[in-house]
Amino acid sequence: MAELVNFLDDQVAAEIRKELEVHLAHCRTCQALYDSARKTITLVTESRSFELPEEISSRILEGIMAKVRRGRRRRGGNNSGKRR
Amino acid sequence: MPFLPQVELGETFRPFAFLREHFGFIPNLFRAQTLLPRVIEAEARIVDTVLLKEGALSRRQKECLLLAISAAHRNTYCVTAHWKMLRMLGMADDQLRQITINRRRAGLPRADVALLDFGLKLTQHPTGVSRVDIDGLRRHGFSDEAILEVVLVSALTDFVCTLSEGLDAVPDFQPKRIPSTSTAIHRPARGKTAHRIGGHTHATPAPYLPAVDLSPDAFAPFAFFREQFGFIPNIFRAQTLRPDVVEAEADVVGTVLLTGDVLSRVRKECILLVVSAANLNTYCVAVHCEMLRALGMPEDESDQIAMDHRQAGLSHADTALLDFALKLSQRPIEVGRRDIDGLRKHGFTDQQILESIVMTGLTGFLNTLQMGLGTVPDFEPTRIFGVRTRSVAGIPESPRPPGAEIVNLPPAPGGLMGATRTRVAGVALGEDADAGLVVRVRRGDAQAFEELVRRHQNRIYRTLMGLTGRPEDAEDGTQDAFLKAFEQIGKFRGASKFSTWLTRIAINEGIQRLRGRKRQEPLKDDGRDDAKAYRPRHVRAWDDNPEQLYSQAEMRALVERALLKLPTMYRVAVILRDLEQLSTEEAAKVLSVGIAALKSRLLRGRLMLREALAPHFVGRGRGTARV
Repeated sequence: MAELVNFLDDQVAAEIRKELEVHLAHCRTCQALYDSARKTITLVTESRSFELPEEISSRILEGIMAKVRRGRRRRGGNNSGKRR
Repeated sequence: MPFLPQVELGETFRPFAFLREHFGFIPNLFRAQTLLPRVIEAEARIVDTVLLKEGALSRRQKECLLLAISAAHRNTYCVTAHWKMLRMLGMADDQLRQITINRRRAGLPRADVALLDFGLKLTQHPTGVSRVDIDGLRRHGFSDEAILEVVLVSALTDFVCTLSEGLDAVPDFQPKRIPSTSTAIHRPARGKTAHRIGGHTHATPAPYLPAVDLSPDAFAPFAFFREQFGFIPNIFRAQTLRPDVVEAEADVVGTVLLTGDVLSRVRKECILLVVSAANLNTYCVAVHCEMLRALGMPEDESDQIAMDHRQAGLSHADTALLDFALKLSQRPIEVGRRDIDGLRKHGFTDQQILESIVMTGLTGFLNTLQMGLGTVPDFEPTRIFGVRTRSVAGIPESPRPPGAEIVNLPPAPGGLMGATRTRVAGVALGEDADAGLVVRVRRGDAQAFEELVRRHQNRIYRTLMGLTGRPEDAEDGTQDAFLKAFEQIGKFRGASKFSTWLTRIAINEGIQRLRGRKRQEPLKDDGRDDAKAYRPRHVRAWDDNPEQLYSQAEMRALVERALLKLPTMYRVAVILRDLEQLSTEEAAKVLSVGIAALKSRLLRGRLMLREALAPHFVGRGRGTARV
C-alpha cells in the first residue's frame, strides 16, 4: 500500500516504477484507476479549496496582533500606563 | 515609450540584419536593448537556434507555445508578436483567440494540446513538473528531441516575457487584447509559504532526457564552461541532443553573466541567486552559491542573500537592485517607470539597469530549463526550496542528491542565521525558513510574529476549514492557534519546523471544535475496514483534462464538497498532503503518527475522493457541475 502511495507521488525506486508501468501498459482498468487517482491529487492541489478570503485574512491578523500587543503590555506594562 | 533610451546601431549591425531577414522587421524588444549590443547578439543566437532553426517541432508548434505561455503571463508585447507570426503562418484569428482562452477548443490536434499543457505547466507550476509529464509527452508520440525543444521554447518565452516587461517594449503591431479568461501565471511567493521538503527518498535522481556524451576536448562550449566555472554544469550536459543550442547558451552565459564591464559579476550572480531562490529552484541556488563562493563570498553570506537579501547587510543600492530583479521576476506586469527611476536614484546607469533586466530574464530562462530537464545539482544543495502548493510551486520534483543539509533552530536565541546546521544523510529534510523570525519573536519582537502570521495564516485557515468545514470555526481556530503558538513559543525547540509545530497546534484546535459537535468521528484508526468506501466502483477512464470541464469556482466547490464528505482521519491526511503540500514525513509528524499509518490513511482518502469525484469526470465532455 505504501508503494502505491509512493507511486502516486512519483517516489518509487526506478525498478518498481518500471514494473508498475509495464503492468499499467497492459491493464486498462489499472491504468484508468491510476490515471484518475493522479488527476484527483492534481485537482485537489490546484482547486484552491478553502482559500482564506481577503477580508477575513485582515480580520484574523488584526485580531491576533491586537491580543499579542495587549498581552505584551499587560506583562511588561508597569511603565506604560496602559494596563487594562 | 520604452523605459530606457536607445542608440542607433545602423543597418549593418549583424543581429538586426538577421532579425529583419527572418521576421521581416526588427522587433522593438531588441531595439530597446541597443545600449548593450553584445546582449542583442547573444539573444539573437538563442532565438535562432531555439525558435527559427528547423528541429523536431514545427515553427507553428513553437509559436503556439509562445502565444499560449505569453497569454498566461498576460504579456501584451509577446502575445501581439506571436499572434502576428501565427497569422503569417496561416492560422486564423478565431483559432488564435481560442489558444489564448481555451486551448482545448482551438481545434488543435490532441498532441499539440498536450504540448501546450506541458509548456504551461512548466511555466506556471514549474516545480510540479516530473518524469510523469515527460512520459505523457512521449505517449503522444513526441521524441526526446521534441521534448527538449518544448522545454527550450517554454524557457525562451519566460526570457522574452521578462525582457519585454522590464524594458516596456512597445508592441510591433496593433496590440492584441489578452482575454481576461486566460490563466494568469502565479509565481511562488518567497518567504510567504511553508517550505516543503520533497520526497524522492527512493527514486534515483536523473535528468528526464537522455544525453549524448560529449568530451570537452571535442566540444568547445564544454571546454568553455570547464575553463570558466571549473566544471561543466549538468544543466548544459542535459541538452546535448542539441549541441547547437548548448553553443548558443554558452554564448549568452559568456556575454551576459561572465562579463564585468557594466554590472559586476558578483552583482549578477546575486541576481541569479535571489531570483532562483524566489523561483524555488534548488539547482540554480546551489550552483550560484558555489559560484559566489569561488568569487570570494563566504557561504553564509550567499546563503542569507538567497533566503532574504534584505537581511544580508547589503548596501542600499545592492538591496534596491535585488528588489527590482525580484519584482521583475515575480510581478513583472507591476514594473513601471518609477522602479527604473528608483534604480537611477541609487546611482545605477541605464546600461546597468538594462543588464539587470537581461540578467533577470536569463535567470528565468535557466530556471525553467532546469525544471523542465530535471537536472541534478552539480553541488550538494545546502537548502531545498519548496512551497505549500504544487499549483504554485509544489514539491521540488527536481532530483536531489541525498544528504542535503538542514538547519535546525538553536535551543537558545542566536543570530538570524546562527542556526545549527545538521547534516542528515539520506533523510529528506530541509531548512526552516522561519528560524530567524522565531528567534526574534522570542526576544519579544511583535513585528516578527506579525510576519509569521502573514506567512502562515492562509495555510492554517485552509487546514482548519478542511477539518471543520465551517468558516467561523476556521477563523476562530486560526486566531486561537496563533495565540497559543505565541504564548508557547518558548517551548518550541526546533525538533520540527515551526510550520509543522504550528500546524499541529491548529489541528488540535480543530479537533477540539469537532468534539464540541454532536456527531463525532474518530481521528485515530479504529481498525474498522472502510474497504467498501474506497474499493473502486467507477473504473472508466476519466476525461483527459478534467480541469477543463468546469469553471474554477465549480471545480473548487466540487472538490470542497467531496473532501468534506471524507471521514475526518482520511480527510486530514489528504488536506495536509495534497492541499497543504506537506511532505509525508511532515504530515506524519503533525498528526503524531508513523509514516506507514499516514500513507495508509492518505491512500484511502485519495481513493475515496477519487470515487466521489469520478461521476463528474468520467470522459463525457463539458458539463455543469451540480454544486
